[in-house]
Amino acid sequence: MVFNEWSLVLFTVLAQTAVGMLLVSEIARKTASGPVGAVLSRQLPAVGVLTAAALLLSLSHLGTPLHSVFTILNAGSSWLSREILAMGGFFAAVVALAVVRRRNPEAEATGLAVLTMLLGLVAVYVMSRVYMLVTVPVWDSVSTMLGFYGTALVAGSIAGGLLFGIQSNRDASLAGETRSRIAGVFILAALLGLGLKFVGVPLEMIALDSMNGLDVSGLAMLASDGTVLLVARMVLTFLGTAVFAWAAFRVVVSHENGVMINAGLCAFGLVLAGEIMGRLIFYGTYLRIGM
Amino acid sequence: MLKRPAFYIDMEACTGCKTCMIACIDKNDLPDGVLFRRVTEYAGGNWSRNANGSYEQNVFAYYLSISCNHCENPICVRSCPTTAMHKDENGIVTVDHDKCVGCRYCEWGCPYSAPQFNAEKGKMEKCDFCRDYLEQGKPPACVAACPTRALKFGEYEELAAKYGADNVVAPLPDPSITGPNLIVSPNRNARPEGSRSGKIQNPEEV
Repeated sequence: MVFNEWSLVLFTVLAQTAVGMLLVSEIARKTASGPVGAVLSRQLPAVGVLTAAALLLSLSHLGTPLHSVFTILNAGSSWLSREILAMGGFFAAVVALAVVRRRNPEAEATGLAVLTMLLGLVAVYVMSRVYMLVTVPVWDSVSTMLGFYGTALVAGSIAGGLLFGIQSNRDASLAGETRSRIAGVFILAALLGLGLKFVGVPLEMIALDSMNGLDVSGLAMLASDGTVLLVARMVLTFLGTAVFAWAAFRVVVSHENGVMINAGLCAFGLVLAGEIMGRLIFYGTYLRIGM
Repeated sequence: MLKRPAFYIDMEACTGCKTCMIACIDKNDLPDGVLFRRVTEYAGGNWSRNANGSYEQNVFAYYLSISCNHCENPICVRSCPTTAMHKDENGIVTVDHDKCVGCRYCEWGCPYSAPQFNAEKGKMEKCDFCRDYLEQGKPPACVAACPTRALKFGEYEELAAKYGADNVVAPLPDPSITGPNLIVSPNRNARPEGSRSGKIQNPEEV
């Protein structure tokens, strides 16, 4: 197995985390029964920083980064051009929304928020299509898309939930009911993401069963030392989500906030490790038909 | 110049000597690890039991010398984000180095391994059908070098009319994906496209 795509591993995981964080925090904001005050104020800046870091990291994959301005020229037929446009559009919308909310913290800016959420959903869709190449049967599966949306929701809600835990701990004025609702949204989103990932697993196995001209299948590539990685990455993501759900549930039932920070950090570490491992396996099992 | 340049391989004549590969490396002054033409060895075989209880083997092997096929619907051109990869007015699939960003996405998609990454230049490179030689009325370096005359080039329609267009053998991919300008006369041992009876035996070489 060859693990030489670190820049793409980090780019995809961070970009998806950013999209998920934006989606979940915006839904949490809408779902909260009362005024949320400043308790979600750091979500947008964090999404912006994550997206910018992801985009910068992606540059290190390029042989001639100075030519990256040309990468949007083939949007008519290249999914890679579309990915760059979609991620760029998402980033611009996040910055715009952050600026609007900073000028007027009471502003809902619902229209712009919905647009940003849609751009995020589109960006993850387009990002999946980049890998669904007809000549790469291990990737050309709906499991790629389920995995990417799953990463967005799992890692995004845990990152967002952790940030919410830190901010709400300092904000004693936040109503208990609001606190519960926001934490509830983060839990549901993380569980939905975990569900998507696990639905994708059998489909991924089917896709990995395809072979190349060397008579090697994706499953065969994983058979020796890869099985441990494959299991470990699922266990890590599952454990991370479970720890997070437990901590956030404490907030829902007892409005007790303290546990969200330590457990949230622990959960985020577990899930990030699991997702990075999963993405290394994804790139490591690249296999193409032909010669 | 040709309108739709194509390569023709007579697999029955090819001995797998790899002179075409070497001539190509020499002509293009390619660094280590960059190959515009690769000679793939495809082989397989098994023991089978006869009615009288004796065993017999059916070992087979053959060669396929493949460069860029300057496809009609090239997946590299379709996927290239910068439009650096394009089909020029002579039907030759070419990389514009003033635009190529070196993302290697064309390399991921091409089922013939035609686009190759040149790490020194940080850009993709590939077979240009020896455009300069064609302009001088000379054959491409690989074709000129072939000692058994197994490799030919010409107008796709003419080669197709002469040798037949629909011979696709393993491990070549389904031609409907990219529409390669490649004509093949199969070896007597050639297995059909998609066959799992053999495998590529020299991956470290191609």
